[in-house]
Amino acid sequence: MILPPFELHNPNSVKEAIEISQKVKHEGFDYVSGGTDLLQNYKNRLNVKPHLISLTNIKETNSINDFNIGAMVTLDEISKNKILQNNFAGLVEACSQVGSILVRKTATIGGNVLIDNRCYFYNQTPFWRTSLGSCLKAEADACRVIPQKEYCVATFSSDSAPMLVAVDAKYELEGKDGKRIIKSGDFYTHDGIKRNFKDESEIITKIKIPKRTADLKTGYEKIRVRDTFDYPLVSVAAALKINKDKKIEDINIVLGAIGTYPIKNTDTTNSFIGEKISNSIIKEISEKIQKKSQPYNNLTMPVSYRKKMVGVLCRRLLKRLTNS
Amino acid sequence: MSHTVGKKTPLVDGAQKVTGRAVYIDDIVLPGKVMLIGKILRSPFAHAKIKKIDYSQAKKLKGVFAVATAKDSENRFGVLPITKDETAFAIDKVTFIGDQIAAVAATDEETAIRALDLIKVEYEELPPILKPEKSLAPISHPDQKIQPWSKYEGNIFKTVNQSFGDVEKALKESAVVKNGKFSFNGVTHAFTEPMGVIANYGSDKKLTMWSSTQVPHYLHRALSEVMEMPMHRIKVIRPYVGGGFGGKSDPFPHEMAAAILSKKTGKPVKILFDRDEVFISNHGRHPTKTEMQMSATKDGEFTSLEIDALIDGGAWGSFGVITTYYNGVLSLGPYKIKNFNYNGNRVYTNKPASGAMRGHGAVNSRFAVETLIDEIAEDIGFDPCDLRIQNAYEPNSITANGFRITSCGIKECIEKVKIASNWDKKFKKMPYGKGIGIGCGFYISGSALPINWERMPQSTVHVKIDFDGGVTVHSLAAEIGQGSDTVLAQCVGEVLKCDMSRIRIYSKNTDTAPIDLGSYSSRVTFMAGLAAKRAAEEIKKQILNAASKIMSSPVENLELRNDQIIELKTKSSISFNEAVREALHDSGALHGKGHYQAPNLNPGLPRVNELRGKESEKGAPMGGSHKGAAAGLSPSYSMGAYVCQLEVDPETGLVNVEKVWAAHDCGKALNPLAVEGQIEGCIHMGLGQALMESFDYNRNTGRIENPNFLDYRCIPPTMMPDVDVFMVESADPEGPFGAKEAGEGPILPILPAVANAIYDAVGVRLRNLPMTPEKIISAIAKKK
Amino acid sequence: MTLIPFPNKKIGKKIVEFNINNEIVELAIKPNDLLLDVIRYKLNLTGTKRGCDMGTCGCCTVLIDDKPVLSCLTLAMQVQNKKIKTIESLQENENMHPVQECFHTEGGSQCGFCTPGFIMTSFALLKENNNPTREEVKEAISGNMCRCTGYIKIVDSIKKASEKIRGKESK
Repeated sequence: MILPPFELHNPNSVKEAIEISQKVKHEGFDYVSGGTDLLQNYKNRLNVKPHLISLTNIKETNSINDFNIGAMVTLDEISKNKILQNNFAGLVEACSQVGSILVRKTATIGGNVLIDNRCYFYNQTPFWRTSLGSCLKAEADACRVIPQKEYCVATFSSDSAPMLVAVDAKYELEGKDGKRIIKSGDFYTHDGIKRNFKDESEIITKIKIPKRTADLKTGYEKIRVRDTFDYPLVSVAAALKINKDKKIEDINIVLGAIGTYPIKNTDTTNSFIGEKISNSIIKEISEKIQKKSQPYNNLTMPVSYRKKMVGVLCRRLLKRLTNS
Repeated sequence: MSHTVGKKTPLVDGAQKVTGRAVYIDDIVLPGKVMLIGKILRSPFAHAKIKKIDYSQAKKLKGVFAVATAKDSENRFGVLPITKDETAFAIDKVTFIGDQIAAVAATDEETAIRALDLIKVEYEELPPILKPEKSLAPISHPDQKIQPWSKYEGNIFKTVNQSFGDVEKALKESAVVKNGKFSFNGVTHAFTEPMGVIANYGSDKKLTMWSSTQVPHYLHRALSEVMEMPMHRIKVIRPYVGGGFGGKSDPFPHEMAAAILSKKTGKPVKILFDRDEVFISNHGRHPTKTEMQMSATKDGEFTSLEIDALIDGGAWGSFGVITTYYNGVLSLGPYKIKNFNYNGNRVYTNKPASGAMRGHGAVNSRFAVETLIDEIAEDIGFDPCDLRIQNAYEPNSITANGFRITSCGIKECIEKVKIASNWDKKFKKMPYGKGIGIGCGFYISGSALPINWERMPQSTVHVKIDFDGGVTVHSLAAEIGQGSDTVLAQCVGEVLKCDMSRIRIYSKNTDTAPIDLGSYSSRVTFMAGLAAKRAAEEIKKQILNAASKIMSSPVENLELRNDQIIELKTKSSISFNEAVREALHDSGALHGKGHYQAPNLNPGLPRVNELRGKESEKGAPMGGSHKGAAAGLSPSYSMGAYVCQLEVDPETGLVNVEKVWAAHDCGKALNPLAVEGQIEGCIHMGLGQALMESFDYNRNTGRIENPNFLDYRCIPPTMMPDVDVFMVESADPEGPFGAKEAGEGPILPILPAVANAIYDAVGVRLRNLPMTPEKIISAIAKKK
Repeated sequence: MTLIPFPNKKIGKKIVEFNINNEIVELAIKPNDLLLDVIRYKLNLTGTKRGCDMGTCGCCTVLIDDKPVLSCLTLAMQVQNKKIKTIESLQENENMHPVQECFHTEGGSQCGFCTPGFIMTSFALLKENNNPTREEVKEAISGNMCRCTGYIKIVDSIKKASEKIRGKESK
């Protein structure tokens, strides 16, 4: 399969990348880092832009300093980083389960938090989409999952983002209007096409992890049929603080691959703050979160199963994090 | 003392593969830079009339050399002579999403894709027929007939009814009757190398075709029919092939398209499939719905087996006649069951065709039989292993449907895995979630009846030895990674007892290689191996005669050993080369010929070859004399027994297969390295079908939902169990050095072993493959 | 007409210079050229294979600066000044590299199509860790797909190769 034609730009700095973006914005462009996800979509001619701006030469963003992770750091590097292993185990768990080992050696965390949403009507070849008549996120004007024309329900597919949202990590962005910092939890929209509140010129430069993450118990579990290659079918990220009286001081559970954005459950979990952790509390939290979850029928696994697994994964994760 | 047989032998063509020098279809570069790239236009509709094709704009595009459609060829072809229902391009209508309508040849891939974009096709959509049940029903309008030349009612492709003994009576005399409704999703071969073809129609009006194929001979025949050219003007070359498993064992429309485009342009044309096109081509295992009933006495004697199979064939016939038979006829062995009814229907539907896939036709029924046996065992309080041993055939038996079983190691297989797995300590004794299960298998070593009823051997091998002392072996047996070239080398080497580096295999070119029917139905070790052995024996005579002259000793006193000829009495010796050079005197290069033709397996009846040219449906009287008696008839059968130990997570339904003990009766392992490799590979493929592989069709449109390796899931290395392999050698009396098949049979036992182990683990019986996590937790919830 | 036409856009080529198998090459490359296609069709190094186009089979694995990479998802223009190693580079004089030899003798290769990808991945693994456990091997090869072997003899081959390499290094 060949790629459709585009111009490729290789800026050496964030500033240069933004300048190029402004020059070509009227034609349309995409930023690309590792490319392991984007290029699949380009081969399928999904929302192809005439310009690709590669971020791989930008040195400013490819290192880990304390709790700041450069956006161009690969998922494999994050999996092997000792400081993160000791202080943010959940992120290491999330990143080390993305795709396959070969994907992780090239894919970046910046790319992963911005990964496109997925749907089995969307992620298909041009021939397949022609036969279907395509869909709202691609060449047509109607959604094939929920028949309507207003919004897209493609499923959120990042593994790292739910974990980052669970610890209130922030994304540092730089764009035509300068730098800004946004909470990861506020970054994503509910629409499967627009997906986030990033201005198109903006590049994620850093993932800023709050220092207090080191005091939290963090973990990530996902369901996929195979333990390699597959995108998540349902995932749960949890960040907890249990004090020495075994009472919940802080709890944050975020769902991935359920819906179009990472789903926080603070309205459910906040009421458990102050409670003593126990098997029945864990069960109650998990059941409540499962009940509220509403996966869309657009992945290769039935909705009923994925919903059930929300509860199972929540329970197992909370048990695991509170036993250690 | 064996020279090479029985020794672990690295594949004779392996050095090319590990150094990246093996040339596969897409690696071929023809000199002159004239090769064009071909691309195929495919139907977006499952069922539609083609009203008009306008490719005038496409032809005008710079860089486009030709466009081809059905106007260029309407000749029918198909792998089975009795069901030739394919054409190079769809003529009046398209019958599945992906059907080939037109093809273009252009200077490069981008131009070819753009040209396809410019072809305008007018369709009149017809309602697609997707449910196999619907295909059984009579049609009410000619438009509903998917393949107009099918002579059956409705959209039925083939019906098979076979009946032996008296099932009704047997049921009355049985203490336990178990039945079940099983359904099997389609699965596909998923080899790593996509199909590809290069066609070169030269100005000498000769056609050369390179194709990633398992069946160069059938491709050769089909090309001759479609291109209306005599076979002697056509040459088929098989490069290295990156896996087949039955998915490259038909002549294909894309091969015909490439030939037509090459003739139109006068240039070589290459067509290489994208991965989604490989899925669209399919020819995988048929989606099947099977109702099965089995009965036994309270003493554990199997008394009857009844099968009703509804087989979803998709839009073409392919090997479907054989599939329809194998779903029934291969279900009896390896157990003594005298009373048997089989009703099988294969139907056309508007989906990509199903065809032959490893274990062809037998895998699904075997799953059902083996799980019903376990249910019987539980009911009458028998151990599942012991119950199977009790009913298993002995060597030299005849099955109820007339199959002659010669070598038979099934009991030894079961006993071996029972002991190795510590069965008695584990079965029904492990904690909830952990389970152990057994499954058995039975498969043919090639079909005794060839699909074309000519008076021609099924395999012929020529061996040539010349001045350089090299041993050249010519055979068309298709090396697709299973090690057939190595089998040929070993069979020849074992006879000549020469340095194995002398032996070179030439198996790629129809111009020089004598016919072997191809690599399918697991026939090559047995049939081509025997032909090679016989050719080597003929040439051995010439060498020994020459040596006799040199050493002044009668041939009876001479023996070939380790690249030499030894005089047994005096212990003197001469070299292989010396004998060869003597033999060359007055005759030139030495030549040996050997062939194999399946024997008449029932001496009371005429041989099938005596019914020359009769394509009648009356069935060839070999074995039994009933209709279809020859289907499943084989000169020898392999058997196997596997025990599988696994753990089920009852909350997620995910299955962790921990270990498999696999015993396969291969007669004799000519190359234990390859036989083990086949068994392990079969376990991988079988586990995939059992747990996660599924060719998903959209219920309403017939579109494949998962034509890619992301959503069509094969077992990854981290989920493969450890496997202990036991090669049981029952020494087949006819096979080469005692060998029989080990390429397809080893897939059969693993699927039921997994299902039976899941039952042992969590108490649920699943009858729909694949046994995915959601099905497992649903079944567990239902049980509660 | 067609719902999803192939975009018609003229794009220019640029000269890209890189080291492949210890040879410096300079090629005129289009922005949308894939590294896999450049290796196979421009440089005629056909040992690296095209299996699935989407990074889901690993047959296209090459090393870029010693790191295993899916060349079917790599833009050729991105390898400016990089060092690429393909299967063709592993052999020293007439002898196979231990990894190649072991895949051959231990049955790690049947049809051979996935073999170059596995060998490159294993080569990179053994450079990083010359004594991996079976679990570590399986993890390292979990981005490569094989349909013939069931992976068991592939792991055997890599383990045997690690023995050979350690034997050589200790000399």
